[in-house]
Amino acid sequence: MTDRYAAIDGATKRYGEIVAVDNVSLSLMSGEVYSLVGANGAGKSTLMRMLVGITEPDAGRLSICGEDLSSGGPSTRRHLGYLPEELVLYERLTGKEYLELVAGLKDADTARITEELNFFELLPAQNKLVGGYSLGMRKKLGLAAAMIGSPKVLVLDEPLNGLDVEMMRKLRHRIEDERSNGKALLVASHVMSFVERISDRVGIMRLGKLVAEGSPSELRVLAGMNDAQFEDVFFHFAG
Amino acid sequence: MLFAGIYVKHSLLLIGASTRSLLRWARQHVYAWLILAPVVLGISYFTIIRLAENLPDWEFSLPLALTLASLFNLGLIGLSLSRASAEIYHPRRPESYFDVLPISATTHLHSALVTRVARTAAVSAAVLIARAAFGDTGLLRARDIPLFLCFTLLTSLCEMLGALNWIHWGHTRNPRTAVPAFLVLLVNGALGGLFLTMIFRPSSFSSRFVLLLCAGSVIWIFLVYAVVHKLNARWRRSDLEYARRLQSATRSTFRIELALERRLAPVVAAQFARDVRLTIRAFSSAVYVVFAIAALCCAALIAALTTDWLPVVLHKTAWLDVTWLPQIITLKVACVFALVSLTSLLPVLIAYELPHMWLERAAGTSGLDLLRAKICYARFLTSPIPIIFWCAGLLTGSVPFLYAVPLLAECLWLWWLVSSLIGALSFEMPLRPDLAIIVNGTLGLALGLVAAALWPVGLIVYPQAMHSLTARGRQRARYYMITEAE
Repeated sequence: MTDRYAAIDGATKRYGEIVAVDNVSLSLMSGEVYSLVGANGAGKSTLMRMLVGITEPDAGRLSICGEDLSSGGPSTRRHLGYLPEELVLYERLTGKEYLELVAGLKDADTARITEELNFFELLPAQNKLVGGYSLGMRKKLGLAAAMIGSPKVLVLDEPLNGLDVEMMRKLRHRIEDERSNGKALLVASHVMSFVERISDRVGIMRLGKLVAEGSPSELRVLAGMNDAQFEDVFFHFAG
Repeated sequence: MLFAGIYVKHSLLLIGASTRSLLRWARQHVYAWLILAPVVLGISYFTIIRLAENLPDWEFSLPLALTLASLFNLGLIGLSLSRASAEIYHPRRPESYFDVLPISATTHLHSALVTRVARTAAVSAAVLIARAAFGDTGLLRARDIPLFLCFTLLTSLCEMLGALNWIHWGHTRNPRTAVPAFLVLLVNGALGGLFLTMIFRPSSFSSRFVLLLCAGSVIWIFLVYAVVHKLNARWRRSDLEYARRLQSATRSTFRIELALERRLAPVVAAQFARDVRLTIRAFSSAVYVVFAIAALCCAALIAALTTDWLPVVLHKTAWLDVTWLPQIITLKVACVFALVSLTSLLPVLIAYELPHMWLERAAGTSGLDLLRAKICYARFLTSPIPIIFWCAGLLTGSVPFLYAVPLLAECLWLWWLVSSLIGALSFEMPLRPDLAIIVNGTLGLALGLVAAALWPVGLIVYPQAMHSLTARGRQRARYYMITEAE
């Protein structure tokens, strides 16, 4: 039997008149990759921010590894690794110093820092100030920070932005490895080929609602488009 | 104990990262710190000392001193709201990532409090220096230390209490929490004012009173800390998102381009409209600061004109000599100070826009267009100043009726001169806005004050200075646009 690592139950978030997330429920199992797809403004990032606890839902319940996010203390977040869509970094810390800081705040093993720097090809730049990093290097540093501490739940918002083809491939393999290690991953992306290849389940969001959910093959069947590209299946549901 | 250890460790890590980042920033600006700062501070200090020695002895009554000190303290709290809330909620700052890490709200609060105490301590130190300059007492005496500590801690906590309530009020509009907080802030403002008065006028208070007040304040400080701690723990999660969205919220606007397209080239009008919109939407807390300083200049002018601080000229003055009456000179000097204060926003605006200047580059904007937009902006931003100060002079009855129109012309001339000069200097050092504020402000003040005393000098300087500054400014604007400040 699989463990439920993250659960979102009836989450709703409004910004004035706009309903960013409308009564969405989903769960993340151990060893599962769940991808969220949708147009800009569909509510993917808001849902992810609610799951990591930086946006408070107006209604609904969210939990990580069985611990309620609203009532649980900061220790609830020890199971989480998060890559935000917009990552603001200390411009005057080096990449290595930044990861040491994150590891310290997570009470994680600092020995993993070198491994992560090596994996994300940041070792040659580890002692350079982050202010001199390119967009791709910043994204890789953010990914490394999310992975530090081996969190059970990884929430990655647009992880491919700024990465080169080789790193995209490496990241895909890394996500598959994390899944094999029993982690649960929630990924938001606009790259349909990537989503199709890595996902066990895909949730399609439209105007704050989860309009369809299932494995890529199940979604094809639901759409009645067995031989179509996954991108066409997405457009079928997302309009 | 284990939890306490983790809190301390996390707080130290956060403070350590910020400090390291700050030290590296200081190292990058070592020239400004080691050469320019001592020169500017030294000149300012000796000028103030000289002024203090030459000014007549002012002795405020105790109630007036208490009122002024309380207003100063409340002003300090008000001006810190934006910065203090950024320290607590860190929108668009690197620390924002740490909200998803297993760190308690208390850790965030403590690291913000340390930063706030450090900033307030700098203000307290400036107060002590001012006292040493204007009073007969030394820089620091043993009796000042508890007063200094109480003032710093109390004001820091009040700034944090104000920031927490400011964000919460914006989010919830709940008067049941806002009104008590406002009352507490008023009480604390008065208490902080009392500490300031005790620092400035130690002879007015007995040692016993000072001792009792300090002891009582320690208990009060703990109570305020407990309230701040509780409010932060209770509101942080719900207010965090609101604080982060403050800058991205939809704000009211007005169509400036339509009014200006007829007068300005479209390229200049578009940039100008953007600059004005950014200012209206408070792109930086510096917007509040410069407007507050300009308002203080106006308040100081009204105070000077309505009290007996200025000497009264008893003999009859010729019509043209009115320009040198103490009241008229004071009005023009205050006008120049307010103009320089508002134009200090230019370097901050350019530093804010520099990373996005690829847009102008891609659109084929010329260096001259860039410079013209900034000169227009400087003139527009400061345009109300001459009218406001002229009105203040008329309403206080300090301006002879026959000199009202020439005075308006003088004020308008000062406005045009100072705003054009500082606008033309916009691109002199855009990578160092702090230094640019000092240099541009000093030049603007120098020319403005000379023109205030002898307006024809401006007529001689303006055409020559503007010609060469425009030629230089367009080159520099083009350079920074092409290099995108690399």
